[in-house]
Order: sequence, then C-alpha cells, then structure tokens
Amino acid sequence: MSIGVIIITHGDFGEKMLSAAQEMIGKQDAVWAFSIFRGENLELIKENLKNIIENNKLKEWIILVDIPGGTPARICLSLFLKNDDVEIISGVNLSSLLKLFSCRDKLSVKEIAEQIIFDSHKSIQNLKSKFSEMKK
Amino acid sequence: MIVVLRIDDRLIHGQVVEGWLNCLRINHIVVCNNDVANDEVQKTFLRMAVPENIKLSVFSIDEGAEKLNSPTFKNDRIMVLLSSPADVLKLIEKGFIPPKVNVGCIQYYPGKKQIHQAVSVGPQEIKCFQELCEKGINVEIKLLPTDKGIDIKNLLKNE
Repeated sequence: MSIGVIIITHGDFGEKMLSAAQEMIGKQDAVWAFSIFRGENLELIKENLKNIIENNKLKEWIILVDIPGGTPARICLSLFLKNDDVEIISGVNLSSLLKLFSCRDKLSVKEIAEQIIFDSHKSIQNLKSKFSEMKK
Repeated sequence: MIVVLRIDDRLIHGQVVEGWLNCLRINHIVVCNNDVANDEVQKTFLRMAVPENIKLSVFSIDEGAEKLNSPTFKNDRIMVLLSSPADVLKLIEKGFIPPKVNVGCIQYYPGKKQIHQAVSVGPQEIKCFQELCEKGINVEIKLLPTDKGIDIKNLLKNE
C-alpha cells in the first residue's frame, strides 16, 4: 500500500460512508475517517491530521472532504497547500471512495485524483432518464 | 470459463459489482432467472447496475444450462448469478453441474431461520442446500472474495 486515504466531513457521514464501502469491498488498510461536530476543537483535529501524515511511512495521500467551502476543506488546505504529496478532493461520495480503493495501488496520486473526480461525476445520474435511454 | 457461481437473491448489487468483478477480473455476468428473463423492466434494471465494460447476459434456467454447457463463452471470465438454491438444482437437472457454489445474500423474512449474518433459510431452502451437499457440491457462504468461506454443511448440521 503506497497511498494513504483520509476522509473528513461535517458530522460522521464520512465514517459511515467508509463503513458502507467496506461492507461492499471488505476491510481496507491505511484509511482514516474524521468527523467534525459542532464545537469541535479544530486545533486538535489539525494536530491529529499532521501526526498521521508526518509519522506514517506512506508517501502520498488523498484527502476526501465533503463540500468545497466547508471547515474540513479549509483545515486541509491550510495544512497541506504546499505539500505536493497530498491531494485534496471535495464532493466525497460512495462512488469516489470505491474507485479510490480499487485503483490506489495502480496509479499515481495525481491520476487517482482525476479518476475519482471523473467517476463521482459519472455516478450522478437521473435514473429514470437513464432507464428510458437503456430500454430503447 | 466460469470463475464463480453465486446464489444471491439481490442478483446484481453493490457487493457483487464493487466487491467481486474487479477482484476476480470478471468480464461477463450471466444471470439465470426465469422471472427476470421474461421481464424487460427487471432486465433493464440489471443492465443499469452493470459497469459499461462488463457484458451481461440474462437467461431462463433452461437457456442458461444450455449456454453454460456450450463453448460460447469459453473466452470470458464469467460470474453466474442465481437467486435461489432451487434454481441451482434446476440447472443441474438440465445438465449443468457447477464445480462449486458461492452463497451471498439470502434475505430474512418471518418463518425463516438466520444461519449467517447475510443468509436466512426456510424449509425449502434447507432441503435444496442439503440436496446440493449430498450431490457432493461444495456450497460456501462467502460475501466477498476476501472473506473466509464457511461451508454451509456446518451450519445445517442440525437441520
């Protein structure tokens, strides 16, 4: 395993999403999920994040956050803006997470970032329209 | 070649698509199910659930037995999906003998007995599973390829 994964979201939906993904593809290594609740000590979370990334043998990291302008996104940007080994992607969803786990041993961190953005976009569909198209 | 034959009453779902296809490099899913084979809407639902690069065939049990026995798909890596052990027995009756049977999700409803986190069986299913075991076919509960398989025989000992 060469790429570490961190998921950070408002509330615990990131943790729950991770558990849903593992329900489908089994337990995953080198992944951490952080939940940020109201009134949380953000300095503590920053400390934890820095510790994980600095004290780990893994070289490259993908951080998945929920919304682009939220606290999780801002914390990560402020910590890792200048660190080229860390990519930060917003809009985490189950498809992006599954894609990430399935390709993280095969691609570089930059390629993975592109791939998971592509796959998350693709997973958002109007299913009734798709049904009509496919039925033709 | 048939890489895995699975009983799963959800047929194609997240665990199958995300958990099995990639891991075993499956490129063709063959669903054998009489209801779905005769229902265009259900068939389309299944097609929607399969990634674009994976082939999907939906057959009735009779058709399925014939196709699986023929060399038609010999170059594909196939996952066969059936919704019940009774359907596996029907496949066998029609002449297709699976080397091994994988069991995924079989849902609970009142009157059934839960024998595993994801598998519940009623009297009919118990009978069918026992029949499969008696035929010498290895029947293993294994939700994901990375899970440790459990021989269903051990869970049905007291039935």
